[in-house]
Amino acid sequence: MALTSSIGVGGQHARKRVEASLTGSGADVAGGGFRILLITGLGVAIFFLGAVLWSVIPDGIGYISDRGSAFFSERSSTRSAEFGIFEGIRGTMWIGIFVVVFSFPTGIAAAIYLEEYAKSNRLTRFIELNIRNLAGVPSVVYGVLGLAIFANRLDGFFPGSADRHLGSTTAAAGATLAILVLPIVIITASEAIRAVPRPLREAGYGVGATKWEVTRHHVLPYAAPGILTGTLLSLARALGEAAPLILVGGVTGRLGPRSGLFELEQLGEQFTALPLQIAELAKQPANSGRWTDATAAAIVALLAVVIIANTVAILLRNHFEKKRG
Amino acid sequence: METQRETMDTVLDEDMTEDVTLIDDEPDTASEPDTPDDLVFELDELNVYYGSFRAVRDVDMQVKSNEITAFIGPSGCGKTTVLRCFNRMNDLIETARVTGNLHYHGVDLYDRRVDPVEVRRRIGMVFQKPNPFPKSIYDNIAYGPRVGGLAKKGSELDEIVETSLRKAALWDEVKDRLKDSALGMSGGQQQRLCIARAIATSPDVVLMDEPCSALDPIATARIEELMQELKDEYSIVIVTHNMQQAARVSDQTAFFSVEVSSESDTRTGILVEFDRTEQIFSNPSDERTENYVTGRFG
Amino acid sequence: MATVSPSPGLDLGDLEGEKGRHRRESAVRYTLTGAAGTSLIISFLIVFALIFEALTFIDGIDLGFLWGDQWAPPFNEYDIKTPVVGSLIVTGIAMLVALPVGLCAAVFLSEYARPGVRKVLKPTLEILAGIPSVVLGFFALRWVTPNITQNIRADAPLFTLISAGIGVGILTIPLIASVSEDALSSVPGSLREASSGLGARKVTTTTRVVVPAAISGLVAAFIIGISRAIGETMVVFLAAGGGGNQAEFTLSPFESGTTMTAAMAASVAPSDRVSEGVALQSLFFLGLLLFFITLVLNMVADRFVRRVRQVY
Repeated sequence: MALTSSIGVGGQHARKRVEASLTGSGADVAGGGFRILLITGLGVAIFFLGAVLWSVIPDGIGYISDRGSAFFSERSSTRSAEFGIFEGIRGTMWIGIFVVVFSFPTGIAAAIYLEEYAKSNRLTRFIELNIRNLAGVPSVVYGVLGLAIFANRLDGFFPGSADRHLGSTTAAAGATLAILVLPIVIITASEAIRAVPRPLREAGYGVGATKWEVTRHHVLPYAAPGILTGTLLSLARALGEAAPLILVGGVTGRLGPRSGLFELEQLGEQFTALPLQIAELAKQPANSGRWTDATAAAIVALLAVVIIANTVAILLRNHFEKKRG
Repeated sequence: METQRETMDTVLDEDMTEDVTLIDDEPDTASEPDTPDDLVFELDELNVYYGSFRAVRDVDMQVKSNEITAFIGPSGCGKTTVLRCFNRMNDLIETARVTGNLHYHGVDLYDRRVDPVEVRRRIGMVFQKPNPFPKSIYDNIAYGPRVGGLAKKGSELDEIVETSLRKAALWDEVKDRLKDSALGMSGGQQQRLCIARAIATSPDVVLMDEPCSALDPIATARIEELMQELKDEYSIVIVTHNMQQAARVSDQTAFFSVEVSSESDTRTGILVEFDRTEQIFSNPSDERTENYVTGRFG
Repeated sequence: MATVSPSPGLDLGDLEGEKGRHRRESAVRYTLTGAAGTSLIISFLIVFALIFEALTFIDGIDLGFLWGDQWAPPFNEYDIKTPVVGSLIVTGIAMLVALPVGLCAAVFLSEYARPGVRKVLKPTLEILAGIPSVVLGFFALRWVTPNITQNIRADAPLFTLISAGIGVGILTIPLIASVSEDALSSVPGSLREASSGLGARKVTTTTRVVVPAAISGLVAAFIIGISRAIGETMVVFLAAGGGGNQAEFTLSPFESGTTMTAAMAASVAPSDRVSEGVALQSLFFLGLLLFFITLVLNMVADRFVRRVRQVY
């Protein structure tokens, strides 16, 4: 201020003009409006998330607390007050096992090959394109594949099923979902491996380590959090799928007599899974009995598994990203 | 693996006496003919291509043992490319191709039967930015000897770790925290760790690619001091952007420059002059060298 | 450890390396190659299985057959335009929901949200992404239909394409939001700074500079969203009446209908199950159709994503 006052009258005018232009010509209407638009859009998304959760959690929890643990240990029934998701849990568990045992190792191995070992030529690029396409194929098409290859072809694969195609068996369902998930595991593992910094690899090679030694001792440990996150997310996805199961011939009514949780013979028998049971429950009429509540309860069970897996994966990723800095 | 160690040991035993004689006879001017045992590397019309692009042209060079040889020159003239040929690090780049001859103690490094992994055990490397493994200090040093089969038992490894850290002038600073993460050290310490890591596999050559460019002047001075100490046991080849550093530290200097081709608009690296350091800096033979070292360009 | 460097009397054998180590390396390489080969085998399997059966279907019927009033395999009716148009309607409605919402969410998260806010909102969207489609099918039937569809048209039936479309849209929001947000985030900060430096307000910078710069990625997000929406089965299965193996051709979203995906699922569903013959093969025909449609869409999207990476 001391400076400007010594400028004189001309300077005072200039100062007023600059001050006026700098303090703006009014409210930023367009900007404000745009911001509101964006927040509205985001709000709609969050609203729907809330609505979905709200439409199932209260009713579902209510039903579960009414039925107690019987809900988880009972089997399917035609009466809504007696319906239990035991068989669904069992089927879903089997599917999870297939995915972990087949897709994870194969997918990660394929990713290691593509990122560390494969030469960068047309064949490699073709394989990578192929995998990206496979990841985008709708799950129902994988169901068709499962039907065509496992269900309809491998007759008599399991003892006592000669009259039936391999078809509606737990093994077929597990295999189908394992194949569905494989491209996704490859892609996420590849990304995690690609993110490993070059200087780390160079340091390994520099002290005379072989390619596998560098991969095993340096690249994989560094990429492990990313790989873990990716595989957890794919598992969650596999457990929530219903369409392929329908195609492979999942049963929605009551299954055979086996009552244990984990019996290998199960693999050769008809199966169901949580998402299938939910689909069937959802089709029941809303007015008779507590079917809607039962559906909500089954959904809560499935959501618990899926959301926990997703949340753990995301938390892991955030934790390791922070640690890396 | 056992046979290999035996071979090395027998060779050492046999030639012990010859080594001693050589040291006595070492010439102190460049005019004396270099006897083959004096040389660690011999380059003969070495060319490096990335795909069809020629990055470095026709390098002829003879690098002497137990000396510090510096590569200087403006950016992009192939210094690092040539350096990385010495330990076959260019193999990691898919499109890289090397023609000409590169002999290491008389053996053709690019012979089909040569295993690059074995080469890198004997020819160590320190990189521009310190890149310790995200492991403990101890494991950083022990890793190379472990995978290279140099030591299996814990006590042998302990000995190697201590010796390497002592030679890198780092032992006193870290001896009480060997199990701490290497990433917790300062930049200068990390680089000295990388030097210790490189010498842990008992190489006879240490390559350094601008090792001080990411460090402050004090850390730089420490490493230059270290290099002089290491010279007794190892042959050192260092790429540096810092002319003064080359003048301070090296015994021989190679000046690289760039040749621009007008038709294809490509820049190819060439070796302009290679001589004793005092010559290069006080009385260079080539005008381009003179222009560079006097700061007229670059 | 040797304290003297190896004598210059080195020979080639010293540099050959250890045989055991070499063998291990080869074994590892073969295993890994095999794993990668599996993925190739699988995609060929899909194509062959589908093509074989689908061709049998096409062989068995004459193409005029594919035009009728309804898609009802148990009654030998294979009007192909019913499921195809159904897919278009559902996908169209889904995009009307998912595209604006997803884009707004992405722009907000990328350009306007404070880091603290972002840290909460992004995972929230990721949770939405993890909700299985059966759940959304149930939601579409039991919440969207009474609360939205029947508010727009009071006489709408219980199963409608529009309810399914909205459900699929909700399902697709997180996908579009995340791909778009990636595209927007990869626009370099220097562009935003240049714009602000010229005196542009934030809304101008965002709409005139950032969004156009990210347009390839945004188009990719759109195409990926379409691909996802077309491939969605359960929402239609539950909420549009696609669960029955019979649907009449309709152009109105306020009617029940089916899509290619739901038709496939329904033809196998136990209630009207057909396990053999033409009906089964129609299933493969639809599957092949779907496979190629999503293949083309994904390859186009891939091109756009590639372009984003190239520019930056």
